Amino acid sequence: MSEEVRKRLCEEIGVSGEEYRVRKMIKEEIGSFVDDIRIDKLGNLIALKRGRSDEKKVLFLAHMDEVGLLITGIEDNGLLRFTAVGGIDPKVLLSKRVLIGKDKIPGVIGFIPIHMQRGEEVKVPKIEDMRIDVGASSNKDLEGKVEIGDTAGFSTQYEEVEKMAKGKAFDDRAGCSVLIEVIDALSEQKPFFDTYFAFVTQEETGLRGSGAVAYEIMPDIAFVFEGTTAGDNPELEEERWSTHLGEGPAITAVHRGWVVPKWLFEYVIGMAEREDIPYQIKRTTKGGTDAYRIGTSARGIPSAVISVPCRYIHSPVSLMNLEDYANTVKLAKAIVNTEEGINVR
Amino acid sequence: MEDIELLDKLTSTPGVSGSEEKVADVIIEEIKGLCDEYHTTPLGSVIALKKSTSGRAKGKIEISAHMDEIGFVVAKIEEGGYLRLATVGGVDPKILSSQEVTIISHTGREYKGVIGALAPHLQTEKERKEQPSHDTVFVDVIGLSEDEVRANIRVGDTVTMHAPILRLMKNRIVGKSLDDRICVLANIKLLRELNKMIFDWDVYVVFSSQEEIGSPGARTATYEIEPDVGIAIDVTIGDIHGVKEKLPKLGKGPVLGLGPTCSPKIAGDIKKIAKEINVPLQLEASVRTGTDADSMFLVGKGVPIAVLSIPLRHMHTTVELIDMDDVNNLVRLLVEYIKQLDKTYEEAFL
Repeated sequence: MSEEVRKRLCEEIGVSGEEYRVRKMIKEEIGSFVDDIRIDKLGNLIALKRGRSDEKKVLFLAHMDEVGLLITGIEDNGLLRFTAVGGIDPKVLLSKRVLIGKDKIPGVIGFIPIHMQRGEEVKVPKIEDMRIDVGASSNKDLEGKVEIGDTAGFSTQYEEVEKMAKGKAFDDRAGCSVLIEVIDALSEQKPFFDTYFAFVTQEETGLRGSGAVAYEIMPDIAFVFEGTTAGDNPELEEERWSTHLGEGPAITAVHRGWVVPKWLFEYVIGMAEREDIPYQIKRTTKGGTDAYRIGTSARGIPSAVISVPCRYIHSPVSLMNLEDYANTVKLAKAIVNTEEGINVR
Repeated sequence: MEDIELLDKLTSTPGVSGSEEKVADVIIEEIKGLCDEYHTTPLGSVIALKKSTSGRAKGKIEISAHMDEIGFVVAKIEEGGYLRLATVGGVDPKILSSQEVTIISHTGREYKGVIGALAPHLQTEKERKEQPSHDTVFVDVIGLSEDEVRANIRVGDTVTMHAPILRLMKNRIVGKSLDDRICVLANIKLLRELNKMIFDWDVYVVFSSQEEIGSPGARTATYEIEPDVGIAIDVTIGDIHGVKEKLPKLGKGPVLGLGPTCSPKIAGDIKKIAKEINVPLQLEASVRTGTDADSMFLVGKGVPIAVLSIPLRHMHTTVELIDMDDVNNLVRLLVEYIKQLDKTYEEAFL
């Protein structure tokens, strides 16, 4: 897949609950390459690629939504109050640009200048004390343009420099992008089993979209593709890194609320080794993914998590290593095309 | 070039105090056809002279805007190729998490970087409560290995924040380094106007270096010029959420400085002219102006000074916000003031 598609995918804004633009883009991208495509009641996009065998159903899943802001108030002077959608450290919000609502009205989150901070302890404000400035001088300027309930996303440009990519929302457009590449590759070859590709909503607000997909499809096995945390910065000891850029896709053994079944964990590792794909095992167990929701649905569905390591996620700008990304795609393709199928236990 | 396009070029060209060469080049390219002569001073300021077009040069006026910006120099290269920074000018560490930056290598090449921010998932409770500090800021140079970083970047190389110009509603725009590139733009616009009019005084349009570290650029440029009247044009802190005191408002006109640094005579004339040509004017009194004016005032035998400012929100951040109406009104006011300088200095001021 081209840099151009990754750029469009990562620059598009789809804060949880308003994933419609991302969904439309993905639908257009994959629509003609799949056997069935539909949108469910929670806004999830579900595509089917029929396999050589319909004995089992495999689910590949990534979430379309990203962290962002929700407009909660418009003040008389035209400034906007907001709250966070998903986990955002208030520290990354000061002096940043956002795009608001369906018309993507540009705005900025300002801060009092350092010149006025002397002699008093000025701290990073709470999110409820920050404001977005869109250039309006009164609330009348905003009529028909910005409304309470609109969401706002970061306006960061996507760019690839050497083997690194810079942009926003790699959590989880990286995963969406991996799925799109797998679908592309299947235009010439059928997967072993019937394979569903789900692009789900509202992961960041508490794993809300994926449960509906689990019940709709009732897959025998699921693979969740993520852009996950990399904390390999100069402050941190290696055990806190979570993942390390350049070491390949990160395979999760256990995270919040979910232990990947041992046989499945070993299966993913075995596949990486068989295909000679570098991989790393995720070093931390914090944070959850849709694997928890899928895994604990119905009678329990074996679910694995495979991630592209990304630095500085849940902020306006993150970095990922394109070799890690390409290796994640390679691993996903190997799983979908496995010649003997998957022996689900 | 369109104002906004030129402003984007001016603000995206690095010019941390003391390293203004690249932004000076952009300015010179823009003004060389608009003035009679120009040169760069030993400290890096650019002085452009537009001579009296009436042929009756009765005095010298200097209009000065600073072209430098706050920023950083590389202080250390860490294991892994991450950079530590030291600040140049007043940079608030609280706005740095997750900012994009440009590293200007001593080789002349530029590299992109981001200031890292640990994902909330990986923060300890203690880290969550910690306030940002310059000690923990680090730059991740995009696409370079540690070896490549060490081969191409060294301690002392300058680093600027990266943030393109963005148009907001009405006539408002946002960008980095609008302090004081917005007045660099005003000075260029002024030179364009001077080419269309008759005026009696010689006009020295100055783009000063190093304002953010104490104005040596403006001080030495003013020494060369020995002006009869000096006007510093800069930005001032505009009304902003979170500050109770009354501050100049965006879109309500340029701000005239008053106080011991500012000549009451020039201030009075500016007030009168603003009324005549119907330019809104706001007033701001201070003992020290916090601009190049403080230095220009005391150069040589002394210079009668005025300060005119553009109200700006979020100063020294990457989202400095101004109203272009104020800029256009500032230029109109300067044009009219220069037009009305028809007496000699002694006649006008004594």
